[in-house]
Amino acid sequence: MRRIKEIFSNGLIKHNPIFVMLIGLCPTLAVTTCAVNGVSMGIATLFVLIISNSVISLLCKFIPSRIRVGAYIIIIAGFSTAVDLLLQAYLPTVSNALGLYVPLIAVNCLIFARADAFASKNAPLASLLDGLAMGLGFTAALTLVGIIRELIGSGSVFGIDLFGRYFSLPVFLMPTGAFLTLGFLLALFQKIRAANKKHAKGGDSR
Amino acid sequence: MEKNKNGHIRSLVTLALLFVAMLLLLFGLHSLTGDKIANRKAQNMQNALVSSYEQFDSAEEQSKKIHLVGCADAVFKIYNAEHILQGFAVTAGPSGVGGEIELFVCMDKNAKIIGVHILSAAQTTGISARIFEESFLSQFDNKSGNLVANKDIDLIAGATASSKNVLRGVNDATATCRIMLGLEEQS
Repeated sequence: MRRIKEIFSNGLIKHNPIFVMLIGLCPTLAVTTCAVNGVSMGIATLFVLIISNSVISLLCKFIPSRIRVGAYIIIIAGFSTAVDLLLQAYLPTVSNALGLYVPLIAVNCLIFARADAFASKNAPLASLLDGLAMGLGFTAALTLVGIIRELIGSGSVFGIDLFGRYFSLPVFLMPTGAFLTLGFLLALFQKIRAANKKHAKGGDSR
Repeated sequence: MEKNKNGHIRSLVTLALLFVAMLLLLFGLHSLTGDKIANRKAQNMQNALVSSYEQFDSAEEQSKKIHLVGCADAVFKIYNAEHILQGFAVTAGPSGVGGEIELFVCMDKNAKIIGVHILSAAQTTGISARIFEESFLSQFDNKSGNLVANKDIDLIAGATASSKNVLRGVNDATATCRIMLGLEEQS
């Protein structure tokens, strides 16, 4: 139970892929023009992470170390293409909105990093949970960036109009807005982490 | 030496097996989803025709050899229930930012545009997705001939390349139709 808690706290907060490890930034900056896109991209990546982590953990004993990079790429690219086909067939609106970033999940360094750093060294169940936790952390971060950009850029959240045309800064729908939003969120996240660390230290010394 | 050679063979066999397994998975998925993806595209075309032509009944692809301008792919003749010609629809595939845009341009009998539809577009996401917006596409309605950017059609700020590609596709489609009708000389 403690192990499961640790895996989830790592994925969601301590080693959050976006706010702490700063990996997988390309889709984070590109697709998060609205909250729905952030959630969709996060879930697509989550699916590939869970499956590839589990499969790599199951097969790692049979994969010689010298070809592990190539083998992981084949597995991850295969599952990314599978997600792309499924989205095109069953969720065409999402597929259109995410565009070429769905096939590009294959080269998302978060997936490769978890395969090499965690799945290849741990049991399948722990790897599956790590994929789930990291994917949820990634999805939460993308959703948060998407919500802020959509709110400021279009005056709505999840398509629900809050301020209408009276309040919208379209620059937040452009790459500039993505960098600004991510920068402010990173600063905020670091500030909260530093305050928590200070608080914990203070508690220890007492 | 022998051990090293065996190691190489094992590595190659492992990679080959993984590759084949992934190919089989994708082949299975493709056969499961291929028809659905194709049907969706056909359905999108059907919806576009129904929304553009009041009396749409059937569409027949132009079998006679015609001159296709630029990125125009195919020309369809549109008929009503009495098999009276209603207009022409041209598919065009201008290359966009990150992939091809599949356009469907519906025109009346005189090559005047009555509807521009985007069937699919593998564009960069975000602001480029605004090419799907009605406010942009409706600018083409009731226009004919070669349209000029920022004169006849307002391009989208931040999605200039994508909107220019749509304009290029529409111009190629209307030129194909106008040449076919003899309204324009083949250049």
